[in-house]
Amino acid sequence: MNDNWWALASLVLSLAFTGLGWRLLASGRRFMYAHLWMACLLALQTGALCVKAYQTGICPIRGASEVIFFLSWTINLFYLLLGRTYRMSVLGIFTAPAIAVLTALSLLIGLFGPDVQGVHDFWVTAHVGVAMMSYGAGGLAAAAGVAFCMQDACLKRRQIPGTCRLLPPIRTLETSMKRLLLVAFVLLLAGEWLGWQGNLPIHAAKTVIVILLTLGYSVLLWLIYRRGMPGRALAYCCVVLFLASMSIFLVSR
Amino acid sequence: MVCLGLNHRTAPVEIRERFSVPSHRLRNAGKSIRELPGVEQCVVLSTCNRMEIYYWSDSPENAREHILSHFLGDGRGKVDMASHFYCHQGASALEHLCRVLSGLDSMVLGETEIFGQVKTAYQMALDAGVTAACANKTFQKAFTIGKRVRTDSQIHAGATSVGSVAVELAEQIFGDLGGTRVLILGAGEMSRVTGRALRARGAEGIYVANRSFDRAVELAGMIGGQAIRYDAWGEYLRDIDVVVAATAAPHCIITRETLLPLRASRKYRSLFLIDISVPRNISPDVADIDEVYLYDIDTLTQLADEAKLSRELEISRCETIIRDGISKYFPDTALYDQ
Repeated sequence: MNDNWWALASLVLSLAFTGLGWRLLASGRRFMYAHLWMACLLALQTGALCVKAYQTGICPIRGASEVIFFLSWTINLFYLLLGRTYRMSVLGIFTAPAIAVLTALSLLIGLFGPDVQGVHDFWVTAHVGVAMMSYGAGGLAAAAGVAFCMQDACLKRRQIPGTCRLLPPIRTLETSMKRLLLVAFVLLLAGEWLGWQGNLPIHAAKTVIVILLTLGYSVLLWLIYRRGMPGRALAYCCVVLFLASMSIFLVSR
Repeated sequence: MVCLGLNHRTAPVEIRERFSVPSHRLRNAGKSIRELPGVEQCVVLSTCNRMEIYYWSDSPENAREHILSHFLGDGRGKVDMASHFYCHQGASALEHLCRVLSGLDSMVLGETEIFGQVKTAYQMALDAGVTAACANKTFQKAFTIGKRVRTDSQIHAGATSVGSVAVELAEQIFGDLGGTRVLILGAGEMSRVTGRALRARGAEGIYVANRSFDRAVELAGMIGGQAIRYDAWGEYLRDIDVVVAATAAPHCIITRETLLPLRASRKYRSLFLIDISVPRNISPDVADIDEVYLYDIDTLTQLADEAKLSRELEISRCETIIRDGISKYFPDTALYDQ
């Protein structure tokens, strides 16, 4: 089966999950099998990546289309790795739409974008792979940030609909955002180190974005762990940092 | 199948307590009833709001008289007391059991504790050997229907008392309350209710401050907390997660000026303020601080009332689930009329 069919199937599943999940959330009912849905989604995403890798003979992170799809895979991976730990299965309802958007974008770029030839280079593969995992962790932190804002708004407005009763508690979301930011930062540094070790050609715009991201993460983590920070500000920062990290794709060839 | 019993609607507490069966005596109570003439199988359910006997018999009227005599004796008192008992028979008894399991027949509509209490009662009867195929099948299927009501409806959603609303909100903010530190200002009834509710959900460090230190000590003893001097409570605020303000002070004792200097030393951790005093003890503008969540008595009461209303609106949905469940699992309900 063509890798695009796998990706399309994952898009359909993520959209179905988004629709069903939000409908249940709006009616104040718990989504019992969020992890199972997301695990099935990961299986389809992994299938797409494997087929692509088998066809091309190299890691499927050539060009924006494949990299964006790989990013959606890492977001899901972090959700399954960390979501269950924090008992935040409902976060899947926030993660699925992000995955759907990224998958749709990846398919569109793949269909209409230019063909990209990949290179067999360990350092390039490791650099891009680890960097995408960093963005994936940042993406999940942003999803936690959105959930935090919803929960915070309910509690501040003093109206507690069923939706808010299903969302994870404020403190759990704060803890998750902090840990995911730390993971994202460590992986970002690791990605930078791999790029530097591999003597990869320097792309000016990308370098500026990465430096700004590194500074952003450093300041934010310093604030969080040394000085403390209100949860809402932290949630905004998570969303802003994730969106900022996506700008790397705008300057990618 | 017959259900004979009394509950909070048919009998006042002084009557209910006379028929209450402690959980450790449920087995023997079941055996005693099973030995009465006409009773073939039985399950005895006893909670603070109800005492019910579910029994199966070929001569239900006869068995009922024997059970009533067993509990009430044969004197004049039996006639007076019997008026507090209700009796459901056949399909009506089955539906009643499902309603009890779903919390539809509870004093607090939709409460979940009753499900566990019925399970315990059934298990006791099973252990005592006073049930057989009919009772076992009926209770197993009724548990399935009860579970379906819980999962497919919102009958248990939301807290319905001021104390439980406060606890639910605290859990929305802090998750597990284990390790949460609570400061209670004032030692009145509302402080006791809220403090107890928070304690029951795992709050560990509970400090009680009151103008009369003796009353603070008394309340702290009741809820497993620690009494502190009233003029020293400000020093504790830095490490506190939840503040319950319920003093008789005629002015605000917690204001923005109290909290703003503490924000940095608290590292902007979430702070849940519960103001259950009139006049209010906490200035409303503290709610503008990002990490502060302030709820006063009116809001807590409103949330409790909303939850009660939303539970009442769920009743018809629950009844439909019960009816569907009965027709699915007990297609021949006529058998239950025997």
